[in-house]
Order: sequence, then structure tokens, then C-alpha cells
Amino acid sequence: MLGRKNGLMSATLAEKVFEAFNSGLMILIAIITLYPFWNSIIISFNESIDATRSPLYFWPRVFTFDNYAFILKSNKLHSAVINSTLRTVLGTLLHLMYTGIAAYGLSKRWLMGRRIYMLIFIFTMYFSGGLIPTYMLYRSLGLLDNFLVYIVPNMWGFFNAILFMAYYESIPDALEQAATIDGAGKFTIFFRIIFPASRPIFATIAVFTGVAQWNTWFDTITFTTSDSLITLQSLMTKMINEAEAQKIMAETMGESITRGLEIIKPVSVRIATLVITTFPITVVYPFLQKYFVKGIMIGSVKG
Amino acid sequence: MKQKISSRHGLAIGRKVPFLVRFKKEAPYHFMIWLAVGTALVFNYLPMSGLIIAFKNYRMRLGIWGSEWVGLKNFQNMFVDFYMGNAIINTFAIALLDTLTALPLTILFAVLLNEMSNKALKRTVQTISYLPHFISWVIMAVLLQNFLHPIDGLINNVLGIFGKGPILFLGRADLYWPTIIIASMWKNIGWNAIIYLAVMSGIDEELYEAARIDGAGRFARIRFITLPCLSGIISIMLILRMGAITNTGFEQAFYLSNELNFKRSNVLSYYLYDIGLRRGNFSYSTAIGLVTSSVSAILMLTSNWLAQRIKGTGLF
Repeated sequence: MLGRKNGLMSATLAEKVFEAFNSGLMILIAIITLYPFWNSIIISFNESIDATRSPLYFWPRVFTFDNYAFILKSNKLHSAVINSTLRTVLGTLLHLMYTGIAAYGLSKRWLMGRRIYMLIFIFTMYFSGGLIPTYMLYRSLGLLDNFLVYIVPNMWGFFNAILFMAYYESIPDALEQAATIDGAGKFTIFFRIIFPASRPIFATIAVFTGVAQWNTWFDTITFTTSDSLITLQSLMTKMINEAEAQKIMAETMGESITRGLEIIKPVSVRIATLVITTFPITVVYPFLQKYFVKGIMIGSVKG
Repeated sequence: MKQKISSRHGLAIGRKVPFLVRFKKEAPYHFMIWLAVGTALVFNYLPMSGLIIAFKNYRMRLGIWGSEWVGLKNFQNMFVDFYMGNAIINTFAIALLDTLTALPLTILFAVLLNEMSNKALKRTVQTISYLPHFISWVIMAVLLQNFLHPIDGLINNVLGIFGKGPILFLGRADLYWPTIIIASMWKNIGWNAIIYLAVMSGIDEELYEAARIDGAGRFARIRFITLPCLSGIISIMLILRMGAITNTGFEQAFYLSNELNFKRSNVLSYYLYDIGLRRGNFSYSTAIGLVTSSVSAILMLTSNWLAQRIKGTGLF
């Protein structure tokens, strides 16, 4: 934008130098950003014992699929993949519908008592009960060690509701009025008219919520104990600890544990799990760019 | 009492609308909102009532009502608790250092990125730059563990090439703050730059043209046009940052703290978690939480008020 060559003037030497320097810097930043991911990939595809001998820099020394073949046999990994996927899909869908509808009601500024409603919600942004009272609440609601703890507390989010409301305001009243004249009820209007017209905001919130659900580890660690509820993130948490990682590997190896640990080291399994955990989002996110950029804009500029 | 005059509900303009009639017309909207109110009441307000255990000596066996009332004892203990003071200092130090370094660098990155004339390269770099935002701190911790390892880690191996001894990054208290701040920058700068880039793309081209014609060089144009236009969004970002101060450093502490660096890695949010869920002292942890929440609320209100005074913008 600023460095664009004006038709009347040609780029001076100083501008060319700046442009070259700036581009070089940006490329360096891109490399620094990407490198840890690339490094993880090459470690995961490198034969385990060889990988522990000396660091890998640019390419696998001894290429192998063994690390993946190993971890993909693990029951824990299967559970983790299923739980992570399930919570992301279910949690996101429910959140979209729940918050999307409630925000629609809230978007009607002339509604009776709206100010009170808004105050109720705004207050929750400033103040909260905290971790322990929340834990006690979940305990009494039976949400501890329950898959629903991933879903139910996340159904409503005021921050996302604000984004929804900002978008709903851009929908012309005429659409709703026409539908009302045709005899449509408010819920019908929402599903038949508002929702189809709001695809961009639903897509944006879906991206935000989906990523959050996939990446959340705290609720699994804090509110669940069963192995049947582990997610990819909580599996990673266990694998950070060397002893834990070996335990997990032992479950897959069965009786051949001592022999097994001579062939494949925890670090390789850990990195392979990391790649599996990160892979879906890394692959998908460039295509979702337009959705969250828009979301950020609405959220911050509109306030 | 304001007259509820409404033509919206199909009644003649000027007539007072009775409460019940209005409600009947608006009912479906209210039901929609009650979905959210119900959730807020259960998951936001009910826990607030649990704050009462901060004034008790809560024992799970005895339940909330059966536990003994101790008044302000938990709060008094905070003043003599060395780790509490330590946690407060670390929290604010990390938040301050992080803001002082990350904010200018983010803006610098956004401005430089914006100056690129090669659109394809600009888009590519930008897309790559916010990739780290999409990984969780678990993953981040594993990556850090890998790179900073004293023997196998890449960083130490590179240092070794230059003849510098291995540095135990994660085992030294004096290196903890720099380590997590730099790690956070790697993770967040690209993402945080998005909003600044979005605002910059909205700046009128004519301003730059006029400046160029007046002889303003590239840096002058940045100084007098770009940066002032960003001041609004910068203050909003700072206000939002205020509300998150008390949460600073939790994930990093969870994964990277150990006995060696605890002096510097102990932050309020992590201390609260440790006291409460690891050591089981529910009452004391809740008391810390109450103080933390209150301070956070005050900070947010204050910075919002300040911003409104200075600029006339604010969040609410």
C-alpha cells in the first residue's frame, strides 16, 4: 500500500532497499514461525533411536513410519481422538444454536427489560465465582467425570453473543416484517430467515468455538479422571511426563515392554502424538482465514 | 414512570401499553433470552454464592453449612503468606513485561507487514504468522521442552557451535520470565497483529497521498498517519488486557514451573489452583479467588473509565 510505485514517481533506491530488507525480515519471521512445526514433523518421521543420538535439523535422517504405527495402536489414542472430535463437533453445534438463538432475542433493543438482561450478562464478564466454587457446582450437578462437562458449561458465551448481536443488526428489518405479515412466528423467523442470512457470523463463531473445543485441556484435567474421557490434549499432558509416557507406551506394548523401550523412545512417540494433535487445525486454518478475521473485526471495532 | 408508548406491537401510537400485553407480544424473544439467563444463573451466579466458603473453614465432610465460620481469617493469612506476595509480584511483573515488549513489537510487525508491496508474499507471511495461535499451551510446552533441552535441545546445540555452554532454560528462575515472554510472543504476535492490520487497511489512501505530496517520507507517514489511527484500537486492546491480568501466566506455570524456577513462575492464578485443587484447601483458594476477581473487576472498570475520559471511547 504505502510502498506502491506511484505512476508519476519511480521507486527510489532507498525505497528499494527498505523493501528488500523488509521482505527479508518477514521471510525470516515466517521461517522462525514454521520451523518448530517442521522440526516436530521430521522427528516424528525419524527412526527413534537415531533421533535421540543427535538433533535433527532439516530432514529426517532415517525415515520411518514406525512411530506412527506404534501410537496408532494405542487404545488411549483411539479414545482421545474420538473424544476430541466428539466434543468439538457437538460442543460447537450446541453452542452455535444456543448462543445464536439467545443472542437473537437479545438483539431486539426495544425489548422490555433488556437493560436488566444486559446487566446480568455484563456483570458476569467482570466478576465470577472462581475455580473452587465452580468445581463444587459441577460436583453437585453430576458433571464431574462426565462427558457433558465438555459441552454444557460451554453452551452460552456472552462474548460470542455480542458478535451475533452485532451481525443481526445488519439484517434489514424488512425481512422480518415481511415474514411476520405472512404469519410466521418468531422462532420460525429465526430458523427460516435469520439463520440462513447469518451464515458468515455462524461460520466465524463456529471457527472460534471449534478451535477452542479442540484445544481445551484444562477441563479434562480438572474435572475428569476416567481414561474414557481423555482428549488428545490431555493425552499430550500425560505424555509430557517421561514416566507417564512410558506407562502409556507400556499399555500398547503389552509384555514386550523392556524390549520395546529399546526400540522406540518416549520422545518419538510424544512428538508423533503432537503431530496428530496439531495436524487437523494446522491443515484447516488457512482456509478459515476469512471467517476469523471478520470475527475479530466485529468483536473489537464494534465493541 | 415512563409511559410505555409503542407502535411496534400494532397498537395505536400514543397509547400506553399494558405490561402483560407487551409481554405477550414479545414472549418468544424473552424465552430465547431465558435460555441464556438460565445458563448464566446456573454457571455464573450459583458459583458466586459458593464464595461464602472463603469466610469459612470448609471441610467436604461437613458441607458448606456445617463448616465452621472463620470470618476474615483466610484473608488475614494472605498477608503473612510469603507465596501469596510472591505470586502477586510475579503476576504483575509478567503482565507488565509482556505488555511492554509484546505490544510495541506486535504493532511494529503489523506496520512492517502492512508496508510490504508484494501482496502475495504479504498474505503468505501473515497466514503463517498466526499459525502458532492455533496450538494449545500443552503443545507449546512440548515444543519448548524439545527446543530448550540442555543436551538434546536445538537451541543449546546451536549455542554449542558458538562455544557457549548449555543453558538450563527451564531450570533457572532468572530465565523464566524471558523464556515465557519470548515464547508467548512467538505464539501470539501474528494473531494479535490481525486486528491492527484490519484497522490499518481502513485508513484512507488519500491521507497517505497528501502526505507523500507534501514530501513526507515513509517513516514520517507511519508516525503521523498510521500510528495515530491505531491509537483507538490500542487503547481498547489495553483495556481488554487489564481484565486478563490476574489470569496471567497460568498455562505457562502449569506446564513449565518446577521447584527450581518457582520463585519466578508462581503466579496468582496458578497459586490459587495449586492451593485449591492440588492441596485441597478449598477455603483459602476461594478467598484468593475472591480477591483476584475483585481486583480484576476494579482494574477493568478503572481502565474503561480512564479510556472514556481520555478518548471518549470505551468498551461499555
